[in-house]
Amino acid sequence: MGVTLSYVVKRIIFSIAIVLGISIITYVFIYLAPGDPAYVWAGRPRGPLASEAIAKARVELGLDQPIYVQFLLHVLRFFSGNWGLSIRFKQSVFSLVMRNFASTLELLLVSFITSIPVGLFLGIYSSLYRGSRVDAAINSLSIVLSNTPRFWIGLAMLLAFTSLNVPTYGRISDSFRGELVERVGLYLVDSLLQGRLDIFLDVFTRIIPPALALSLYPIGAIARVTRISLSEALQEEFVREAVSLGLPRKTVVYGYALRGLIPSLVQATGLFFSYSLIDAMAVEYVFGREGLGSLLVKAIPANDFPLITAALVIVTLVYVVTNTAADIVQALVNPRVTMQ
Amino acid sequence: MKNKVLVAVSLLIILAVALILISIHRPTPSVKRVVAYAYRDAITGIDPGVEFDTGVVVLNLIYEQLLIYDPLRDEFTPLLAVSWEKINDTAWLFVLRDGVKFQDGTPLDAEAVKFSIERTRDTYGETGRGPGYIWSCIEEVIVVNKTAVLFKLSYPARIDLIASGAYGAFIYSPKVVEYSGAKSSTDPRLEEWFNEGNAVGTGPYKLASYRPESEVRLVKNNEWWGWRETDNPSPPDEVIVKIIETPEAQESGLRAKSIDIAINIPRASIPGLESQGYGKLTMPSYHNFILVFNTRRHPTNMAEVRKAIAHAIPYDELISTVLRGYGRIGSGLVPYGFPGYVENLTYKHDLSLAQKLLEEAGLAGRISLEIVITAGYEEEEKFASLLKDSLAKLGIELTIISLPWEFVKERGSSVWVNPNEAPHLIINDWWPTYLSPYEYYYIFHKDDKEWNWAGYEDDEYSQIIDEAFVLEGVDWAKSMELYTKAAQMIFSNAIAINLWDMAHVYVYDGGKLVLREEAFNPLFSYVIFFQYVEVKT
Repeated sequence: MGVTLSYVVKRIIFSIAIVLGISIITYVFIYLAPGDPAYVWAGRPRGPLASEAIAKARVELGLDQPIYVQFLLHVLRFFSGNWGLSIRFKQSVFSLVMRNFASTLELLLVSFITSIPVGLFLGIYSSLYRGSRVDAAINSLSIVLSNTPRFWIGLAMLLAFTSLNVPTYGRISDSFRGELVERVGLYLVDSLLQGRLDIFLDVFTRIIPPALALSLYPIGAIARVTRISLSEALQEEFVREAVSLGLPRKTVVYGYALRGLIPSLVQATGLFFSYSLIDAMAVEYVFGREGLGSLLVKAIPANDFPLITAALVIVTLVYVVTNTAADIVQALVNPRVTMQ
Repeated sequence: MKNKVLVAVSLLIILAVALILISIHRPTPSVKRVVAYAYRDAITGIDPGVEFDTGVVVLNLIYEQLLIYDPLRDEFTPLLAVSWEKINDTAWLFVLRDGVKFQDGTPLDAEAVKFSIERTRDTYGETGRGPGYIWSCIEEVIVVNKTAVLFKLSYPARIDLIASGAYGAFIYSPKVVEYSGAKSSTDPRLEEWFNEGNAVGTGPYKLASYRPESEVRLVKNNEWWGWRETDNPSPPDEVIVKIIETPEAQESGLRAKSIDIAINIPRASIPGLESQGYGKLTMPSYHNFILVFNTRRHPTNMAEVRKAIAHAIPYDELISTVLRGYGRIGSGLVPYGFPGYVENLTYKHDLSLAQKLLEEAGLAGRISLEIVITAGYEEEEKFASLLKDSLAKLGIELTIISLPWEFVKERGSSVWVNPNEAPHLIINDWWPTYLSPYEYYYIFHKDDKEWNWAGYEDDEYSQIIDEAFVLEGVDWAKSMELYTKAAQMIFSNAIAINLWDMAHVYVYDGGKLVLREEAFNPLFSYVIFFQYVEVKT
């Protein structure tokens, strides 16, 4: 086991520091930005008492305090689990963030379930036939895939599927909206838990096009990493020795060379997953899906600092957790790696 | 080799199955009639006594007022009240409809009316929040018996108009205090309870789920008293208000059949959609767009400069290019058809006169001005470009600053704090709370430091409109005369220009829906009364 307790503790401290940092930066940016959250919190008042309402809202939000006091209160509340109410939506920040995060996460998971095997397959194939026309084609394809703007691809896919009369807009058909019982917030899972295959199929149909749009980058990136890493691994001394000992090619490639790549592939995939979170926000917007992206877009103009901070902290946590998990997997798979 | 083929074939099969599923799958035709309405702004709240913004599109389906007023026909229709009478200048009697139940099963009675109105008024009095000031004339709501209430006023007012307001006139069950665990009717816990997604109204739809950031789902209230009167054989069983912010996304949703009615389709796309069978309904509204001049900053502090700009606006192009015919040029401050509307208070496009006015102001040289508009408002963006081109002919350079609405408001009200940092020109869009011109005029009152973005401080003007407001309850005609005088003051000093009165264009799936005209009322901006929408079966 290459993971020590001190590593886990260090990671937790690191994560808290990152979250704190994000909170500070977010709060400072919102503080400096134009706009008045008190006006929004007061319900955009009109009439003779409008100024009074805004002044009261300022006190309620603590905006009449010096910046350092405001920030301290904000952080204390946040870390004590009291995320408060959204200034714009007047609802619990925790509920808002979690239900939108579930939507984004579902999209990301489906996208990666597709992109990991396809990316690996293309990378391995390309590496084994390095220099061939197929390799050149896959290599070019992966470069194109990883560099095409997802927003544009998403839009093109939406138009294409719409013209084929395939329902792709939104997360679920309006007919099913009232019938789905939400348990975990992932509609694919919820529909199955409810035993409703018709709802599952509807949700699945709607998630495939955005998931495909989102998977282009990880497919291209995983294929390229796999191709380069495997090509290098095939030149390693232990692989050559294995070949010289007369082991079958399949055993050499899958049993030795590729196995040695798992840690770095896991780590790279973790990074791609984190990057794709940002893409997911754009793609879900194109396809009219709920999610953290559209939530943030709506929260920012209202200077909704409790909601913006919470949403960004969740994004940060996904990033930190994914990368930590990738590091741990790397350590577990490769005994030479020790996490201290 | 065999394995590779196997892997490739497996992948192909998975892909093929996915594609087949996608291509053959259609949502099972539901027996329910579900209608999705695309609205551009997130819902800001659903407390019927406090909400004063976008929540109105939802609230008017869940709750009802005592009356509703149709300004196009100039007639009142009874809702929760069946009759009403002005006893004297300061007393009105309302008799309630018998047998109406709230959505929790409790009966509507006079106590509920008293509770709702007093809570709405008191919340405003205590916090300044919400539309409760419309009830500031109420001294006391007296319960005469179970089905009759007497409004005792502290000064004369048109209670019939106030009681049919788009905001703040909803009647809701007093049980909400108990349900929410609030200590009193004005306890903030009650507002939180509403905004968590709770509602107890008497209206034709019940709240089923509330996600203010993305969608609100409403289901038909089969117990509603009014179904027989609507004579609608196929109203929607479910209404989903979807928050789709950009016009382009609304169009995509409409084409993808994920939306049935959209209110903000790009104007340029409407003819194309119509030719493809989509329906279009254009309704007048009391939503207008007012160009406000900063009267505290050079050079718009000079009346000649303001008038020069007013004369530089190409009004004909405004209708054809900016509005594409969906609206009319404004006159005075109040929209066409609304009480207090004044005809012929419109400037004419005349660049020579504009040039002359600039010379009179000693500003014939190069001037730089800035205008603040709301980002994403197609008409404002087009108008600003049009004005920029026109002013360039006079040697005026116009910088267009496009900001989210919250930032626009902040820049506008900064005229009182730091006038030289506030923009020279800014566009404010406005719509009424109830049928009184006072709100349109009040945004230039000397005491309104939040919405008077002109920084206009004229005691005489303020006195005139205050007097007009008080007279609304006793001498309507005299009151309108005073409002007219106020409009002329704003016009002759070019403090602000009502650029256009917006027509609301609803584009919808004509194969699925029939939109009756009763489903719309210009007093209720963006509200669709879905009980009057027919779903074709």
